[in-house]
Amino acid sequence: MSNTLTKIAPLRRRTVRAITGVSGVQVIVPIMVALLVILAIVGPLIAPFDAVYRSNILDSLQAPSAAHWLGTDGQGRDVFWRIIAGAQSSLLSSVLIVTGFSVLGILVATIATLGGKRADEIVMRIVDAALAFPPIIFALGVAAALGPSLSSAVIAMILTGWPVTARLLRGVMKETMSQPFIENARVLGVSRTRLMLHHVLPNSLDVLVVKWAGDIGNTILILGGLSFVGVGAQPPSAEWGAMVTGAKNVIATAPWAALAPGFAIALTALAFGLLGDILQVRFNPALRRR
Amino acid sequence: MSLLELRDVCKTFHAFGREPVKALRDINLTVEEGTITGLVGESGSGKTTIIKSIMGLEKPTSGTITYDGINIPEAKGDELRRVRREVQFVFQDPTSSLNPRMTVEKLVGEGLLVHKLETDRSRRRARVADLLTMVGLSDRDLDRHPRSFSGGQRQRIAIARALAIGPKLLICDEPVSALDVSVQAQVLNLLQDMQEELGFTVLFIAHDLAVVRQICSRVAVIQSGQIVEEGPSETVLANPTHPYTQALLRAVPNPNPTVARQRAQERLAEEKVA
Repeated sequence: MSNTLTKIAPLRRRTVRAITGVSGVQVIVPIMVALLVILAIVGPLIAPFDAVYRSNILDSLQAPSAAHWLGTDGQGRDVFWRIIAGAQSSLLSSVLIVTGFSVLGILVATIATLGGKRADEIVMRIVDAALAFPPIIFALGVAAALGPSLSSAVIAMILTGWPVTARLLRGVMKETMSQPFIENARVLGVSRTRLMLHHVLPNSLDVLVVKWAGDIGNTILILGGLSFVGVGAQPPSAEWGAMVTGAKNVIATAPWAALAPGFAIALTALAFGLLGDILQVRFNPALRRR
Repeated sequence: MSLLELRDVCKTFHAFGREPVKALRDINLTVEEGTITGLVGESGSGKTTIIKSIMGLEKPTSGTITYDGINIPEAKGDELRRVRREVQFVFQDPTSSLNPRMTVEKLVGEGLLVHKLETDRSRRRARVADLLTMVGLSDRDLDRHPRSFSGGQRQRIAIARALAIGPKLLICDEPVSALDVSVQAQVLNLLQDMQEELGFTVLFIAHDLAVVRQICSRVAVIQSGQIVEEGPSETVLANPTHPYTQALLRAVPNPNPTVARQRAQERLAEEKVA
């Protein structure tokens, strides 16, 4: 008995966490996200213009080689350089969209939570109505009004994205409002603004951090869909979603043209998703280990 | 002089498709200034409804709740601000009644900030540190979050938070029932010491008569929304006249095995009759 104990006691795994106090994921993911952000900033500057935009039918649909690392698309443009160049429009516009509709959603949820029963009813019915708008159809309308471009796609997606955030957050905020510490703050006489900013929101927003993560990947995909129907990024833009939809007809003969930008989207979504998890643990003291 | 007075307070809850529930029926209760008054009753007897009404978060169907001349259910503006400043609460479960994202400094100092009693950040920190020492914690705990404390320590933080703004009336909602028996006495002693030192008035809600006997000078017993017995705690607990109070007293565990056995038999006999 004592023999087994002495054997078990000194066993401590030499993981990264045991040595540095952080796990490998906690190191790698922020680096990945940082690289993606840097790529989004400098990508269009370092990618050679000809490789990205000039079509060259003789070079079309070439398999990956030393000259074209990820092959070429139907117009003979280099897929690798197009992904590098497209990082900006794909990533920054989806970050912009997610930020935009989150801010709107937080505002609406706050009004619904603080405004009393009647305000809540009215606001949530408006949310229901807004949820019924399909983003694609709405974007078509916006494009008709503003002219088809990446920015009208961004505006359309902000205007259709907020109801989901508002609805989700309102539910969580309602739950937070029923916690005893809210009662405690109210009997101490804190103002509504303080109640919201210091007690309700900090204890409700972590649900959004997780949602943001998934949203980034999703948004890149829908942006691609919008490009496909002609209201998003316009050709010859190298937006990733547009690259996937543009290459889907040749997926059997030249899979790299669609798979490479698809993989870039998946990697981005994964990186942001894991970042969401890390942020949640980091910002929620109840989940923190130390 | 009475500091808090409940007069003919009734509260009926209406639920769709069900019989209305009369949670409070003509509650009359007086809390004298400078005393510790106990309010005893089992779960569902209406204790929580009384507290929510005193908080001003639940409006009674009829009756008045007067704190120092202010009718709490109708209070607004300056009057309400005075109530918030002078009436404080200690909740049952310190784990859920302290905002998990705030540090001890922010939790205890929030009242000082909100009521503009100490707006300077560093001086507020110093005052919070003093308060922590007063309740038996240390200034090393200022920057920690509630999760790094035990239940008893958390309740000490909650008491410091409530006492920080120097309230005249402290309402304790079963402040020790969520704690280990071993730390219950410590927290009770702390409350008692603070009350003697600062002289505030306490309304102490409990279901445990042993706790009430230890600290309350007067006690009121509530059963299904009605006060059934009220008086000085020695009298009520020594010679209970109402059968409900007698039943509550019999339910207190007795360390003497002979008495305990005897009571068990009494209870059995009662159940057979019923």
